[in-house]
Amino acid sequence: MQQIKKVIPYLKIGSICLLVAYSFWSVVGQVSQAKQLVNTDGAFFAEWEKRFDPIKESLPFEYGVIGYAADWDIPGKSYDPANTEAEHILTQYTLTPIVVSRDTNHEWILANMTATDFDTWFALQKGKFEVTKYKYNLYLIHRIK
Amino acid sequence: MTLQSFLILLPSIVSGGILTHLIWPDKEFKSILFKLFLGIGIGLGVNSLLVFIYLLIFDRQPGLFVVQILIMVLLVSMLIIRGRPCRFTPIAFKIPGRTQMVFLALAGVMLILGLIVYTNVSLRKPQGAWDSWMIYNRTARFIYRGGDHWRDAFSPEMYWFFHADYPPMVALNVASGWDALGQETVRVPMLIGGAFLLASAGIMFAAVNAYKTLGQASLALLVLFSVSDFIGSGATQVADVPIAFFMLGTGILIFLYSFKVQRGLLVLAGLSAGLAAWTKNEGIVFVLVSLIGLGVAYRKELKQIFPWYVVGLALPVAILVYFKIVLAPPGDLFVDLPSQVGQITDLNRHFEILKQMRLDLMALLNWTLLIIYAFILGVDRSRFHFSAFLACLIIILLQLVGYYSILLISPHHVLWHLSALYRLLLQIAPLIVFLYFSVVKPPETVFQRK
Repeated sequence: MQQIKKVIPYLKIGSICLLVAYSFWSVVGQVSQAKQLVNTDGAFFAEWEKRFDPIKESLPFEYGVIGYAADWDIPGKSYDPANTEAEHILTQYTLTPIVVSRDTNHEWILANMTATDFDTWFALQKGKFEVTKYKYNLYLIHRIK
Repeated sequence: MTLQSFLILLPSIVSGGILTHLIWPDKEFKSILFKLFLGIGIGLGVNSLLVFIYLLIFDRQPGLFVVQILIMVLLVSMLIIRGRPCRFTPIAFKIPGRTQMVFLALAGVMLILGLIVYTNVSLRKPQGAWDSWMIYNRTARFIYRGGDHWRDAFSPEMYWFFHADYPPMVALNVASGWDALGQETVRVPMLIGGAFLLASAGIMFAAVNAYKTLGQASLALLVLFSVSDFIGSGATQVADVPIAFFMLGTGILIFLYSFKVQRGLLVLAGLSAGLAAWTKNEGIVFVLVSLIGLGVAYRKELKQIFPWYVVGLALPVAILVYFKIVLAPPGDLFVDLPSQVGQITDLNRHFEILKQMRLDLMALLNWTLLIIYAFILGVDRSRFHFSAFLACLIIILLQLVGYYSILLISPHHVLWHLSALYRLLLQIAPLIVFLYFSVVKPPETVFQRK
């Protein structure tokens, strides 16, 4: 019993050292993880801004709502939801303060899809439209009243 | 730009510190140290309320920064009129012993390492994480760029994925920073994230130091920084560290009340809980569970406690209610409640949530080590306040039950929604760490000469 009592203080010191060592080991791991991150943000977001500059210039207003059509609007089309949603999110982030709605029943609609898909989707739309094609598979559609 | 971004946040932070001191005018050195860090988060939280009220009254008319400065001047004047602010009791300040200096040095090294992680992540992900540009910085852009159309940030036309119904505490601070600087810069959301990170570490350290010992406070800081992704989350401009700060602040203030018995602490606890609700929807659950926690733990003193807690809650909760009723679009969680409630009989859903909860809880902290450590060091009964301990324990457990329930009745696919669970647990991790170190014996007891 006495021998156990003698060991206890060392056990306590050991456990404190272990807790300290573990905490440092964990944070040093975070340092090396953080170092491995690649800064793609700058170029990526700048590229996305560039992509939408002509669209911003073509829209006749600075605030308001536009519709957004993408692969999910094409009947029977199989698509990657994560990618398509990411593109919608980036579009919204870039075009802010314009609201980019998934409802396409608006005077102005932005379509983000390949030429073939656009033809399929556009054939289903009713009414009169003016369509302007941009780079990166972007189409700005103006519904004529 | 970093220095300028810091300077424009300063009036809110200074005002927060003074407001905290005016509500709880304790002049003990340890309390002042705690209030310095609490003031950072309270200041930014209250600033967002001010920005929101300003926007409602004046839209985007210039003058917000002048109002922020005037409020700071007003609070400084009140502080001067009320008494000499620097007359804290010097007797309360003890020079640390050699063992404590070692622990303090370890905490200092950890703080530097934390700063390295924060800087690395911030510089490599200047736009923050996915949620920061989908939710918080997007909302901030709407407010800053939108002129008098700033309300479009909460348009019902916005797809649910953008969570336009989320309370805008972080976004309002970012937008007000850009407004004062006259330009959009990633430095503002970066520094706001860093401020909440520092404030969380600061209140943890200062509160454990006030409640226990310097060595214990240093260990608590070490363990807080070892929580997986805590620093990273603070650096990626999302709202999880800010809400974690308010949850931790509420718990600590309830603890401090239990041994100081000063009403101001309850007002601040209520304010902190209210600001948690103004930061993220999970904070609304937190307000409810904190009321239950207090109600159960202090059932014999309800008349003394509840009114002061509710006084603190009143302003942020009233503004949140206004926001939710008038501005926010419907959220994505309660779309078909009867059928969602029916999911509680889905055993597979229970199994998936429990499985992920176990995995994420295990990833959060090294529980094995913490249990062994507590077993060897033992429980400190010398300053054990059962009511405070019980209140915080109930809050943590009920918050977990809250997360579980939401995941259970969520209209989304369970596996998709479970991907957010770790971040939810991260919000209560600091409070768990605080509760742990308030119970376990401090390291000084090991090195004491008998």
